[in-house]
Order: sequence, then C-alpha cells, then structure tokens
Amino acid sequence: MWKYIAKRLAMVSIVITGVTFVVFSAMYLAPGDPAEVIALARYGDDLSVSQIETLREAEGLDAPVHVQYLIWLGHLLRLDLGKSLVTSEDVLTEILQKLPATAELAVASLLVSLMIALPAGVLSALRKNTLLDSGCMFVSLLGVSIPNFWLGLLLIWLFALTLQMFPSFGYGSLKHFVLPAFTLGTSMAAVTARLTRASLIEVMGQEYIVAARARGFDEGTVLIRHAMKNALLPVLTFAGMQFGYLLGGAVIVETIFSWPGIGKLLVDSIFAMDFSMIQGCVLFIAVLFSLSNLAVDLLYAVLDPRIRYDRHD
Amino acid sequence: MTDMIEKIKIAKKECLAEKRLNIGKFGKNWLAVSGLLLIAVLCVFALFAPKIAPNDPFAQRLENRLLSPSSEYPFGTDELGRCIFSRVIYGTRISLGIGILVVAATSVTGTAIGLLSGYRGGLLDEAIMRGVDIVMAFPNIILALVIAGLLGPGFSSVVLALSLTHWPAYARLVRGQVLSLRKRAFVEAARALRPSSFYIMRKHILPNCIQPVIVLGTLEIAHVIIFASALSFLGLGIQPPVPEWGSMLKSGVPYLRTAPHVTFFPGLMIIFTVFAFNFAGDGLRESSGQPVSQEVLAG
Repeated sequence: MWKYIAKRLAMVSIVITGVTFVVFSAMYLAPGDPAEVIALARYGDDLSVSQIETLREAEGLDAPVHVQYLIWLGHLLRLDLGKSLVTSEDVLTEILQKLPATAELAVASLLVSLMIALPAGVLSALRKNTLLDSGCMFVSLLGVSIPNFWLGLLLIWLFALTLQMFPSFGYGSLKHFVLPAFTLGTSMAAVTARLTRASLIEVMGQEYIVAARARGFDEGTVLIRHAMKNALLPVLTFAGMQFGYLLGGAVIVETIFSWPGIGKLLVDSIFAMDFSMIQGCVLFIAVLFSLSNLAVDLLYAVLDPRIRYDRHD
Repeated sequence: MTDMIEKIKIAKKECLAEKRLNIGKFGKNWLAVSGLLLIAVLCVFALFAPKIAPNDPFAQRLENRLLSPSSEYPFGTDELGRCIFSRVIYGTRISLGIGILVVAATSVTGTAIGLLSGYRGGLLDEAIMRGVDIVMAFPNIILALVIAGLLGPGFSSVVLALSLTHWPAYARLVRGQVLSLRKRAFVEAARALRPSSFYIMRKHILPNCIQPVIVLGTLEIAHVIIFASALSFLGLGIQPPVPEWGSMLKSGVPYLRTAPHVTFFPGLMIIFTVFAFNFAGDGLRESSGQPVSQEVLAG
C-alpha cells in the first residue's frame, strides 16, 4: 500500500511537470508576438514600438524560450504565479478568492446529483427490464444529451424570468444556488444513475447475494447491508472524479449565471488575453484535478481491500 | 455428462461471441435503431440543406425581427430577422462536420498511438502513457477552451482544439485491448512465423480492437458536438453570421425574456443530434457486450 502511494505520488509529480510544460507552451499558440499582445492588453490600442520593447525587457520576454520556461518554473516553485497583465493583481490571490464560490457550487451540485441519481439508479436496478427501468434510463440518456448551457437558459427563462422564483444570476444567498446547482447536478445525475444501475445489477447477480438470501435475510437487508456496500464503490469513485472536475470551475454554468468562480475567471481572462491569469487558472485547475483524482484512487484502495495495488498498474 | 459438455460448448460459444457485434440484438433495441434513423435524418438535413430550408439562412429582414413561429418561419426569426429554421438546418452541416472530422482524426491517431504503445511496451509505452496522463490531467473542456481561445475563433481552431484534447481516450482504450490480446494464443501462434510486428498488429490485433473504438467513436461524436457548440456559445468557437447552434443560442440570450424561441430551437437541435448519437452508440455498446464504464471514462 505504501509502495503504491509512493508510486502514485511520483507519477503525479511527473504529470504535473508535464502540465506546466503544456501550459507554458500553450501561450505560444496565440498568433503574434507575446510582448505586443501583452502591451495591447495593458495600454490599449495606441502604443509605440518603444513601449513594446520596454515591456519585452521588463517581462523577460527577450530571453530564449527555454530560459523563460525555467524562470517561470522557478517562480512556480515559490508559489508565485505572477501578476495579472490587465489588473496587476496577484494571480494566486485572485484565484484563491474565487475558489470558495466554485467549491460551494461543486458541493451543492454533487448533492443534487446524488439525490436524484441514487434512488433512480437503485430503483431501475431492482426493477430491471420493466417500464420503470426503461423510463429512467431513457430520461438519463436524454439528460446526458442536454447541453447544460441550454438547460441553464431554459431554467432561467422559466424560474427567473417567467415565474420569478429564483434570481437568474449572482452569488450570495441560498436562493442563488438553486438554478446553477440544479443545472450542473442534473447533467451529472444522468451518468451517475446509469452507473449505479449497472453496478448494482452486477453485484446483485453475484453468489454472495444468493447466499445472503439463502440465509433468510429479507430483501431490504440484502440490498442495504450486502449489495449496496459493494455497488456504491464505483459510484463513489465517479462522484469523486466529478467533484474534482467541478472544482476546476464549471466554465459554462458559471458564465451563464455570472457565478464569481474560477471558471468564469478563466473565460474572462481568455477574452482579455490576460496570459498570466490564463496560465495561473489552467495550472491551478489541472493540479487540483490531478490531486483530487489521486485522493479518489487512494480512498478507493482504503475502502475496497479486495484491490491489490502491488500487482496493479 | 452430456449436459455438462453441452454447457461447456455453450460457454465456449459465448466466449467467442463475447465482443462481437450482434446485429440481431442491435435490431431489437428500438432505441438504438431509432438513434440510427435520426442520424440518417440529420445526414439528409446536412446534405440537402439548400433544398430543405424554406428561406435563405443569411437573409436579414429587420422588419421581421424576433417573430414567433409561423407558417412562413416554422421556428420564428432571430434578432436580425433571419429564419431560425433555415439556420438550424444549415447548422447540421457545421456540427456534423466538426463531429465527424474530430472523431475521424482522434480515433485514427489515438488508435495508432495505443497500438504502438501497447505492442512495443517498455520505455516507449511508459512515455506515451505519461503523455496521455498529462492531457487527461486537464478537465478536457478547460484545455479545449484555452486552445481555442488562444488560436482565435473559427472552424479550424475548434477542430484543432477538440482534436488535441480528445485523442487520449482512444489511445488508452486500444492499449488496454492490445495488452490483453497480445498474450492470447492466436497472437502467439501468428508470431511463431516471425512476421513483422506491423503485420501482426494489422492482421491480428487491430481487427479485434476496432469494435470498441467504433462504439467509443459514436459516443464521442455526441461529446464533440456538445463541446463545439459550448465553445461557440462562449464566443470562442464558430462566430456569427455562420449558423452554428451554439452561437445562435448565444445571440438569443439578450432576448430570453421576450423571444425565448431564439434560444429554444437551436438548443433543441443540439439535443436531437446528441441524443441520436448517444442512443446509437449505447445500442452498439450493449449489443457488442461492453461495460457501461467505458462510456463513463469517455466523458
């Protein structure tokens, strides 16, 4: 187990190093000279050549690319993500300020999704191949197919504009959570319900369930005490992965509902061509995502002693 | 005793049939068949858009702006007085085009990379798999968003952004298949004659990987179409006046209160399309006996 953890940690650090490289080189995808783009973002349209050259020197953009990368990496090691090119705010401070809003939305949507998905999945599995089951699975496949920007707008139109029950944008009170959390939660619920159903059906077909029934336990006990414990493991992993994904900011939903989170920060900085903010956000999101996936894997190993990691890779 | 032998025979048959597409089973899955029919309808829309669309999708008539659905304009008109129905029909060309292009590119490269990685093994495999891990370390909408944003909006940058972010799923899938196949007796037997590795991969391994790749590809078309329209919705993909569903939705947002149909119908078309591919893909998956988890991983 310790060996497994050490190995996974080593792998994650390799991956994160790779991530920094991808993030750094992505900035060179933008057409044109970075110094010029930055100068445009900072001083607006009327700028002189000398301004660009001064900026190039000040930002260290005149050094060779690999030197720039190493310098940037050196800053990263000191947790210095640089300053925003537009507002000159510290990038990391800005991101950490947005983190709570994103995390709260992630928790709320995860709750919504589990509250819908678990009952639906379990019910479909128990009533396998009945009308109820096909109905649930039809709805869930429909749910996977609905783009969440459309669902979000539909909810805004219905509940915010027409019925005026909930606010359509902003952040602050509990009411603000309802529409964004529901939008995100339902799209996650669709997949989670399918997974729950598949997993429970598989477990219910195993011999130890037959054995438990033979021992005379009633169906409820068999389900809750024997089957669910194992059936929920993949669901838990998936929910964990989804949570990590959501921590990176639900870009679209945050944009629609003007939710002041990391996803919206990223989209705004892409439009402003704020290179250091884009780099900071993407790096932060990727690292958070990798670490949360690692945490899920380790949690899985703790919860399911059947998994032997010394053989597994 | 005979009973037992029969059972073994049946078991063997099932084992052989385990990952073969069962057309009979697919035919009985009415959802999957209807998915396939819907895809056919969409292809007809895309191919014959000029014949089907009642109006010119680019013709602006400002006196007709934001009209509700009527017989002349089945889905109403948008903020510039253009026929939404015609634009939605033309939009199939863009979305299907992006979906097919990206899936074609990513499935071929992903499969090639997965084959190489799984068959060669060793250091190369390790390097490729870490590369896959690195791409997968980004929630994939984020990376696509940044790439498309930096490249600047447009058809080719959407295709490039989605292609660069969607290949690892195939590489992982195929590598897994290769690893389990290369130890099988028939591959060992083929290797006894010492043909080139390329020959073994092409003749014995690739045909056995192709089916899961097709299933994944079908489901991926659905994902890619959603992603592409999401990028356009955010303003980082296809730009107006091109009739792309996501950007049409975006242009309807300011009129959500007074003219919800401007956002409603393009979204409905996305759902219709994605639904079709999801159903067909799901049916294919079920009739070729693959687990649900594959689809989940692809998300």
